[in-house]
Amino acid sequence: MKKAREFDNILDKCLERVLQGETIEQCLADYPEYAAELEPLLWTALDTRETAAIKPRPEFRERARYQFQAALRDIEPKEHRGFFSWQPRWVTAVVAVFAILVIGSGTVAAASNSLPGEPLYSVKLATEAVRLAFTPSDLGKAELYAKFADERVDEIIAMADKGEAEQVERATERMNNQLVAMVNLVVSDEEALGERGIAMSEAEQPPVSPQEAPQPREGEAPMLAVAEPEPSPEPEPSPVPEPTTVPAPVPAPAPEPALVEKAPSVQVEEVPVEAVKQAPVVAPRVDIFSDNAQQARVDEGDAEGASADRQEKLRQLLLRQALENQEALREILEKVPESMRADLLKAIEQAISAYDQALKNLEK
Amino acid sequence: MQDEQSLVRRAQQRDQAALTQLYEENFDRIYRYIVLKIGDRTEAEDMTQQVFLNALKSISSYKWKGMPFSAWLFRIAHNQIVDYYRKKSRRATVPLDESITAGDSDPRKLTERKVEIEQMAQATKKLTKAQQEVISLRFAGDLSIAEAARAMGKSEGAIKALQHSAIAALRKVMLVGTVP
Repeated sequence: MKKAREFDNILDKCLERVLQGETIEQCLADYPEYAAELEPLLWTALDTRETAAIKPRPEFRERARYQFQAALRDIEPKEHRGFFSWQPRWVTAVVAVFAILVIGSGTVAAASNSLPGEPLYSVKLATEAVRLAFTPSDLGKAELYAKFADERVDEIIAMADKGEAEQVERATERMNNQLVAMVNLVVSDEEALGERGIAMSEAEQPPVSPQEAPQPREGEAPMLAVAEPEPSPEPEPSPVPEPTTVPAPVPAPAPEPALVEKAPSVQVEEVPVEAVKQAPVVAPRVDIFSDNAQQARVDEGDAEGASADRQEKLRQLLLRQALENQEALREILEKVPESMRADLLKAIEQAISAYDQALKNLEK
Repeated sequence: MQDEQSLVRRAQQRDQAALTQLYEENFDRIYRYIVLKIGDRTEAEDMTQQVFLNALKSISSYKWKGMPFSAWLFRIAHNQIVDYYRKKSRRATVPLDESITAGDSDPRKLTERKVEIEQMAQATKKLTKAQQEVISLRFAGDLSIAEAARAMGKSEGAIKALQHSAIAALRKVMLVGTVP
């Protein structure tokens, strides 16, 4: 073993010297005891190097350079494309609130069908954040998170179908963040009080209702829970697979049972920590959305039963979504290019893990 | 490496001079890497061009991890090569010519005739994926042992061992191809 390692080192030293211009004979003279073994390998290496040292055709080089420069010139306009892609986050949020409260169906409905990379997608995410902010109960928020995660799965499928690997990755992150946030919201009451402080670190913090959020000073932008604005679309050639092998579908890492430790790096909503501390664990109040309004109408005596009923409905919903989404993702997995399989497998693993954890929590 | 890091940072901020510099510094080696892997110069030209266009689109998401920037480009190129073979396998194609025109068992040059890149590419296909990668990165991509180790996520010792076995295997493949 030691001898083999020594030979590997000598071969590499000689190789470097030969590639730098020394002759093979010069190198062999320094290692006479290995000369017989070294010589054929060095010649083969030198042949390989010489053969591989081809130059691109000049006309191709010029054409490629021209196209690259043309692409460079196109970069700037892409950065500033669309109204919502360059506006500050709070503007997007305000527009979303305005759209919901005043304009109503038009913009929001259009945004609700938008996909990552499209101009209205930021409005879609902001609308979701606003809906969460106006939903006081944890259970109501959990239902919304489940719905939004379901949306993300649709987006993953649509983006995978389009070959947009980077968007698949981002949608997966959002899906995971939302499922994890949902998991945190459906823990039992005792756990909620004890663990939420840990679980809601950074990415999983549920948005706080505007009433609880610190009020902006005069002239300042309001601090709303705003979904991350959609960056300009970038079809990335997934730099994920190992360069050593053809990326056969690499199984994603085994899901970790302790989801609270899986804090994703991308935030779903940016909420000041202080604001989260002030957020009530459960704060029933009249809601402008029908499902929550219904909850507000339930009198205190029936509240517990209604809550259990909703919890069961949520469980059923999650169960159905878990199966349907897994099936849908696996279907698209069969169709996408090899380079996208790793991202999709990751999405499947994360979805399975998060749905599973949420269902376990609901059964407690 | 620090210089490259700041160059990449500037490129991520859409600094056109930095982007052009990264392009010029890496263009030839990416082309050579692809040609050696696929053995088709025309296809390699298109793919090389696409590697840089894709890199341009995604450079904002690039994360510096101490690896040379070229390692990221090689990875993009690798993914495109994988796609290329996947698509190619769907089409009915004429099998590759298995004959390798090399020389004799003389330890010196394998052949009096120059080995063409297409033949070399065919020979390397007989190697394991890891051996192919180390040959491509070292002899076409011009990466040092340390850089290849970082790009492949292995130790330098492992890359040296892999390099040894790859060269030995390549020699064997080329000699076998010369048997009359």
